[in-house]
Amino acid sequence: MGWLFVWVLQSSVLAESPETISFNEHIRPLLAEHCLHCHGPDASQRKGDLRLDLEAAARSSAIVAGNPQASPLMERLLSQDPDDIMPPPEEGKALSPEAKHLFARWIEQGASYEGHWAFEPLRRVDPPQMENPDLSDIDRFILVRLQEQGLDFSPPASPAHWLRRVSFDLTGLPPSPQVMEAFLENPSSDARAEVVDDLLASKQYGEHWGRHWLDIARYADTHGGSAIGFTRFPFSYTYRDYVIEAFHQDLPYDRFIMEQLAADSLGLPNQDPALAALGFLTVGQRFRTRHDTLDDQIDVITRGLMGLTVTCARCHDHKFDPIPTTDYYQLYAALDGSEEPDLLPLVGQPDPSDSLKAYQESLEHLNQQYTDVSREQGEILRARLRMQVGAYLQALAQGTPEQDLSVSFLSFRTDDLRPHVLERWRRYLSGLPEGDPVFGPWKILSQADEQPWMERLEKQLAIWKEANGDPASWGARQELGSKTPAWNPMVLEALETQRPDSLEALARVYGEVFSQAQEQWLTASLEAAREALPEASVIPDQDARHATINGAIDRQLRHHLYARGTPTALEDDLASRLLNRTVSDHLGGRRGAIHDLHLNHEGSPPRAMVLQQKPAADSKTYHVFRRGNPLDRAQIVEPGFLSTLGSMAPDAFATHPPRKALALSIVSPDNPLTPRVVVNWVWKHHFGKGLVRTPDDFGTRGAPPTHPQLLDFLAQGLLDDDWSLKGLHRRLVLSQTYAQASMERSQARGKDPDNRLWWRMPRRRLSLESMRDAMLSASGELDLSMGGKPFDMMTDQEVPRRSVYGFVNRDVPSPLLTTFDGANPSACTARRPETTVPQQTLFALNSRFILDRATAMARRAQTQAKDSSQDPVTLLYRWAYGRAPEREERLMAREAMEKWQGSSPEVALERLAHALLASNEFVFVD
Amino acid sequence: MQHPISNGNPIWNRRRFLHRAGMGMGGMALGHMLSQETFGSHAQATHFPGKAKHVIHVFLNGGMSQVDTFDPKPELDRWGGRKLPFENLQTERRTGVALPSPFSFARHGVSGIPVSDLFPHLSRCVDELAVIRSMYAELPSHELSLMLMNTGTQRLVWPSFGSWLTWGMGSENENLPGFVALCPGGMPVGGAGNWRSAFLPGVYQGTYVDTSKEDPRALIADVHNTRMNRAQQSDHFRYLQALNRRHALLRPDESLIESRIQSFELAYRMQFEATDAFDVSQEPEHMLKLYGEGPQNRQLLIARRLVERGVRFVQTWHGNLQPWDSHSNIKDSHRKVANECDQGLAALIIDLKQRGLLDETLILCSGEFGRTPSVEMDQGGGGAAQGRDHNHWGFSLWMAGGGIRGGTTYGATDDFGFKATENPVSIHDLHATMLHLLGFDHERLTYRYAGRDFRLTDVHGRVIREVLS
Repeated sequence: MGWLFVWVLQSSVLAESPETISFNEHIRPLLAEHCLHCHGPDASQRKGDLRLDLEAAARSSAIVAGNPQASPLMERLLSQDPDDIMPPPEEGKALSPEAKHLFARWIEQGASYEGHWAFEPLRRVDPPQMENPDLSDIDRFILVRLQEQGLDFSPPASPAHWLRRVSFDLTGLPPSPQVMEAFLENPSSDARAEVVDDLLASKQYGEHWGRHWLDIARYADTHGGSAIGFTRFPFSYTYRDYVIEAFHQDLPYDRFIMEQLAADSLGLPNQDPALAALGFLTVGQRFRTRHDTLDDQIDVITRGLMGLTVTCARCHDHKFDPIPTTDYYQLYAALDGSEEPDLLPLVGQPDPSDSLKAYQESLEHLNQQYTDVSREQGEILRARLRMQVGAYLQALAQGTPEQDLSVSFLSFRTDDLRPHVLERWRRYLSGLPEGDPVFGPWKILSQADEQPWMERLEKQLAIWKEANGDPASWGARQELGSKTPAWNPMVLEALETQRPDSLEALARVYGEVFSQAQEQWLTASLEAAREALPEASVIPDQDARHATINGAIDRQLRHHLYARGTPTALEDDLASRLLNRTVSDHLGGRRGAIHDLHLNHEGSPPRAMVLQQKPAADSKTYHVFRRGNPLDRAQIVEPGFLSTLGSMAPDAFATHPPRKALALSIVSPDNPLTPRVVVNWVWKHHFGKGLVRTPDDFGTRGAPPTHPQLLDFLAQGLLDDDWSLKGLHRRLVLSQTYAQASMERSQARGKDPDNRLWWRMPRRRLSLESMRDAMLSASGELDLSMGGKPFDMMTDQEVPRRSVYGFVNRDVPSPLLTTFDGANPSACTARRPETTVPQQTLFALNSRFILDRATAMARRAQTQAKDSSQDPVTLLYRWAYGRAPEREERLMAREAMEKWQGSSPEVALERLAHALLASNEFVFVD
Repeated sequence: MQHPISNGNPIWNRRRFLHRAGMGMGGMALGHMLSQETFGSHAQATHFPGKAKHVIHVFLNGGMSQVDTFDPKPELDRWGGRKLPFENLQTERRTGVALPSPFSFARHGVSGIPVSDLFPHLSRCVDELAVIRSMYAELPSHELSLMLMNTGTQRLVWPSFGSWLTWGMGSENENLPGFVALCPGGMPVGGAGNWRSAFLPGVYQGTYVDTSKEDPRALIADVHNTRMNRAQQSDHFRYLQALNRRHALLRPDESLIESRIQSFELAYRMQFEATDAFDVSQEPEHMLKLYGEGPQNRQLLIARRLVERGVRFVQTWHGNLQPWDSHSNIKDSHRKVANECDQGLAALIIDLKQRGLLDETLILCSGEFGRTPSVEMDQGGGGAAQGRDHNHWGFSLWMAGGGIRGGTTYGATDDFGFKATENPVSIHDLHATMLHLLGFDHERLTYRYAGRDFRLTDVHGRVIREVLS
């Protein structure tokens, strides 16, 4: 091996490797990409019992600190034997010579490990000292690094470019010509600060940044996953409006998170608008299984708020990050205890009106119809299930395996076994003590035993009869105070007369005992009820005719059919899901009518899509599901937080409802992820890329920050400023870093091809929403009214409202959304795709939308030109580009329009407007 | 995905971009290549030379009955009207006694593969087919099984096969979408979810085309300008590009800007070329005759025109919702839908073969599951409706062309055609096999999203080598 080693260490291609090898910067990414899949946190995938992610484990076998020659790790990395070399060739993850060299140098330098940067506490960092007093703190962090590479800022963008840039960045709209004119007269730094304050104070800021947040919240107006067409949420818009208002009000970011995760536990008054914040959890896709719904919530919470990919741990310990499956199921447990109420609370107090009244009356009417049918059919179902005990016990006796109840696809007939009910019987019976007077014999006889069945039965029967003693001592059956023997005599009698010879036969015997008891009860109830008829004669309560009703032995049987929590005493909502197909289709129709009323009735007031804590009685035990399989339960877990972050909010889970405790842990000042992730997100929307270029993955396989100190400085600054996002915006957009021109510089590009050091502002294309809004703004049509129900951007093209109010269809994605890289409405999106495809330019050439805008814009220019004696071409240029045309541009326009005059002057102007709206200058922001 | 450390070579990126730059609407996400400041994933080359370059998936949505088409079961005739000698497997609804097939089977071709009289035309091409008789899905629900067949998962929002493929291979034609879903008069159950790109960029989503419309200009969004004639548009376009070039002159070397200028050129040409692909009226009379009448047959001809022009993945759906879902009267309802596509299916194979395209075009013909050999019980408990329920336990499909060994059968169901028993093939196995034919190792075609490397086949899948030529 020796010679190879020497080669690697001396190889000239490696001359540029850094002097000091940093674990986090150099080694950890290599480990994550090439090694940890088999030698990382996931115990089930681990090969050779070797872990490389932990220092102690690695040193105990693979690494000899300070001595690469003696480290088995190096031997394996450098081996030429395909059986020995790591990573194994079949993984296709071979290490480059440079990477091997880094490993060797790192070991040589002592092989020291560091905690993953993202999990380390925030550091208080002072900005570097620099001579230029005009530099902001942010600029110092940036400029120092540029200067290290012999680079400098680009020259500042022109005031007009800066204003257009900051207006689009903060509000998603271009500056109005008036604002532009005023600013250009005095583009001082004070004027800049004023402009920024005005933009931040505008409602349009809330709309624009609210839309950014809706990407994170995987916001949509439909359920998703519908088989045919789609189902709309009647009230998703209340969450969207809440978000817009929260940004507008500069709601502190920690409070914003608290409300979105736990508004129901913050002591808010009923109907408080902030309750709509819970839409963050409830506007996700409506999956068929509870497990998937919770998975979606875990994803949006962990990836969206903390940049961690926790859902990987649903099936196995996270392969790269310290997130075991127990963490996942702690979060699962924290979220599962919540439910959506049948009727959502109102947002605020609706104004009384005729349509509100009409809506309320219809709602009451429809609700009553629904609950009447539902209640009665539920009763019938329960009555039938009480007759079917034998069928369920037989299924258990036959060893029917447990089924995952979270998937339901079957349509039922009366004689179909309900899997839910079967599982209730299975759980119920296993929870009963062996001494249960009714099911004790079942429990005892169903245990495996070497003794022949019949012998055991005989032996046990003798014991049970003996224990019961003399029947005469039990008292008369009609007496309410009659006694109950140790073992139910009706069960014993059936066993004695029928002598079941197997567990299945025993199930039949039990079935008969129970169906008889149920029948007698129904008959006795009917007869007892008839006693109340006027023509009936009075029968004393403890009359022998009331033996069935009064007898304690009968009651022992009925206890297992009627008591709360017994298998056939189904809760109403469960019963309504298990009805026969015809009935459930009918009820589904009635539910649909209520849904339609909420959705479509003119008087339907806004409601908050809340969650509420389920009553404590429903609290259940939670397990880790092995490989995500809900039928394969491993260790028990309690609601809790991510273990690698430690206890962020001590005692939170002991003293608060679990969702609130979770929220407290996320916004805890000790949690370094939350502020880092959000400042990076804000930075990304201003600068095109984040300081961490994987904004939703701060784990070990994400990109490390380009400026770790600046990231912490901004994060700490956010905390010091009471989580004010507007303060953060102000600091960012008033920096010189932000004010740079977006010019290309080949020298800088050569040194830093990815612009990681920010030697310029990247040029950006308008998002779908900004592009559409800017077109409406240029044509003078933009309607700035806020909030309320969504409109369809495709079918209601004439509605000139801002795009944030457009209907988001998760089931049938709008072609606009897919063509223009809109956010995926089914999953948290921290980074939209960036594509350039001809469908986008086809839209610019031919779409009805752009043609209509051009028409409106031309008309507006003609009218205003008449009124103000301004040149229409100048007006078009100002509206589209925020500037007047230059001389040559005028000539070009005149020349083109002359050719088009043939149609008509209006048409010529229209075509000019169309070209401006379609052009690159319109859709790119310098 | 490139390793972050090796990602920084601008020359390499640049070359790669130039190589890919012509991909246009075919689904190449230019932006990813273009800007060195963007940080995203990109399409990959194939892992090895594949036999197939295109796929046509003929989707018999609703579920084709195997025992009435490609999986004859004489036992079923003997047990007709009697309870099967085992408990009926659980399907969506209750089923009862054995329902013999009302269709007759005969062996065809050199291979002697039996096909029922539902497919008189197709049965003449049987030597091109590999019939898999041991498919199985996971649940007897249309939408879940459709998602499984198309995306490899029935629960989560993952990309469809066509999206994976166009992401992986790009398209050969810059003027057409790389992934097209054809369906006359509506959409299948599950709608656009069947051709979604999920976490892959939106451009890899299938482009839906309603083939009941006959004007080819109505088929692609915004492909036609309604307010200018061709000469006027040409003038207007020249002015627009002059504006753009002036803008670019002041912003030199900006790839983002340059790419949109190029994209305009592409879009402009597309307006005139893309509509051609959908215009079957350009086909000669004998070709129209070969395929036969009706939207199902016609869209198979469109599929050939698309594949011929380099479209990567074409999915043809039989019609709105689930036309093959014969819960009652299997005899008439299956006859009707088979009649609607039989001639076109045979024509597609013959036509592609004549053009030398069959070798590089993989045809898959399948439903989302099969149907029960037992009769579906109506509300009263009888089987008077003479239909079959959904059956995910076992079903048949066939493939042809593109590296498939023709004249093969693989796997078997039990004596009654209820459940796959011999060499059962999962949907993941099917996907792995198809990807293999296209030149991909299904375990290495991965996309990193949300911190995880996703695969179409997740952690499953086995290439069925027995059906490969």
